[in-house]
Amino acid sequence: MSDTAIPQIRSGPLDGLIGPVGRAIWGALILAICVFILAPILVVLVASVSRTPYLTFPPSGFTLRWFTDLVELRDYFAAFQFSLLVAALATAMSLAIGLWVALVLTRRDFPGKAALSALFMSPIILPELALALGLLQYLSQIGAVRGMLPTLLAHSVVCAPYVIRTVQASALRLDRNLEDSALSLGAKPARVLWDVTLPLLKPGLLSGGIMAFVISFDNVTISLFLAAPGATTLPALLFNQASETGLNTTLAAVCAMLTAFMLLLMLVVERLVGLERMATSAVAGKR
Amino acid sequence: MAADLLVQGVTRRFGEQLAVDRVDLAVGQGEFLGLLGPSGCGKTTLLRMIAGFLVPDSGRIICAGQDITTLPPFARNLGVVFQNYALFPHMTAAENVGYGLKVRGMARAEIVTRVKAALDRVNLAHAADRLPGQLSGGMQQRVALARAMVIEPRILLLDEPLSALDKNLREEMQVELRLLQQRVGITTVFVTHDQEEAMTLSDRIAVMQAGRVMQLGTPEEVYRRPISRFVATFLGTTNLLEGKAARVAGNTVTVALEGGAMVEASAPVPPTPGSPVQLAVRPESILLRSTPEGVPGTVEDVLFQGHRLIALFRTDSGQELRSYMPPSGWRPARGDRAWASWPAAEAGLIQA
Repeated sequence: MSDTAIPQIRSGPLDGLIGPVGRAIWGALILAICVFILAPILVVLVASVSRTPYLTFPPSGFTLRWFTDLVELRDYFAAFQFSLLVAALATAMSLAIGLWVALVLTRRDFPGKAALSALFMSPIILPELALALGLLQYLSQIGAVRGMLPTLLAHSVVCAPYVIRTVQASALRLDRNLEDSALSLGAKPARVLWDVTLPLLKPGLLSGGIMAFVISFDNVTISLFLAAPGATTLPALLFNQASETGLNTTLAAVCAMLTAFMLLLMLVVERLVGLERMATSAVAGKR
Repeated sequence: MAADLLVQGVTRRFGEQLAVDRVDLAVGQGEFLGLLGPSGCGKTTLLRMIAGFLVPDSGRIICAGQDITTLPPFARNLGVVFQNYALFPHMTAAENVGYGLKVRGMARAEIVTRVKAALDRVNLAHAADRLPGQLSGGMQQRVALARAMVIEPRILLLDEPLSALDKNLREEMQVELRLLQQRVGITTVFVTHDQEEAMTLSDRIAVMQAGRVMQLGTPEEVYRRPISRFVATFLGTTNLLEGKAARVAGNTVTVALEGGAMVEASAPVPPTPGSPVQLAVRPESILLRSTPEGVPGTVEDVLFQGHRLIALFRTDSGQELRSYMPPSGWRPARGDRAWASWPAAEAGLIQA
């Protein structure tokens, strides 16, 4: 353990500044931070197998019945499906909007471009609560208050900036001569977009898409404001349940399953994007 | 000579900047035309307008009798090779070469045959399945060339295609490119800032500066008889001698040099008698002799370079001249009296 830890610290930014005692304290601090981040999740996971219907830690006894009580979990499964659908559609919309906006922002010059760019980034910076309130007010003006479509639109507003950012980064690196070459070889603009531009923007689209999906899937604030019966996302439902009925063990079980799902998803993504990254860097590295 | 490509009064601005200024060019069928000039002279802008990536503000571009000034690039059927080759990094060499045929909707079997032939022609059949990132610079260059030519374009447009290669490879590719162009007989416009490359490859050279064509002619004409100070100095070392047009008879001008010597020169557009002119003479054309013939002066120094001598000479009227001489034969020494002369055909007449 210390064999592997010490060389890391030596090559770190504090190299030469602290002695062995300082180094030990530094290591303990890092360990404490890791524990602090992981502990709540571990607590929930462990507590979810408790025999008691209310949440206790350490758990008393062991049971898996909170995971198998399908009647109790029915609403959560519905909310999970709704969350998946919203996240998938919000990701698709964010990708479409993000691609277009990023290409315009990187390639066109027009007055007010900097202001427009800042505007598109504002959902990242502004308080989500303000955005949710504003959206609720705005949507009630046009007569569509809650439910699937408002939730989807609001999620897209929050997710698109991430796609804009990542695609912009890819688009800046894209050599315009590639598209000009395709044009001169006889490809019409739509064909050039499909054959050349999109494949080369793939890293940006992929990482932006993943961020958009996770942010939509995890969002509580906006989902809570715009939820309707039968159109409530899982995080919003969990929040509602926790505040209405208090912390019960079913909540912990749902959280445990959600954690497992997200880990699985990240594993799949890592597989896909990890391989993708290897392929692109193999090409880029030898240029 | 039938003109395959006509550029008529083409002008293009970028904001206040005049990038290309009323350029006229006529490129003959099968001709290799070099656009030569320093960076920022407008040569690449002109090429991009011919390719269709930019639309001129005014003027016309006519290809094979058809006005293509505002035709989009995908409808022009021109082959373009860029300085950085611009190969599609996510496609193999064969897919790159076949792309133009694929978008034309050609049958797969036909594409395979033509791509193979095109890669064979540039000696790259063995690299068909490699990605551009796995190819050397010279190989990428040849793939780009094959990709541009496989679509049987009306005209080949080359934007500094050799400048990213190292010196030895560049010279090899110059020869290869010239042979390929001759074999296929395709009309070619070639942009470069390298005067040696332009002279090696081109049938004719258009020397550009500040958006204008300063001189258009064969490499020998522009090198041996430049008509402006810019062309004379841009194409290599030159000697400039001040004088006056004493007599004009047709294209033959008798020039009275400072110090009194009279020499002949020819000018495509004769100056008015009595006007001040300059003569541009290359160092290798200047002959120094110990017999009183030509412009008198003193040898100031002689530098030995192996394959030649550089003699630094000052005329009695105070002008400095540089002469390249073979190391054999009469060898001047520092302080010698000598006379400088050159064949009339080797002097370019520059009008102020």
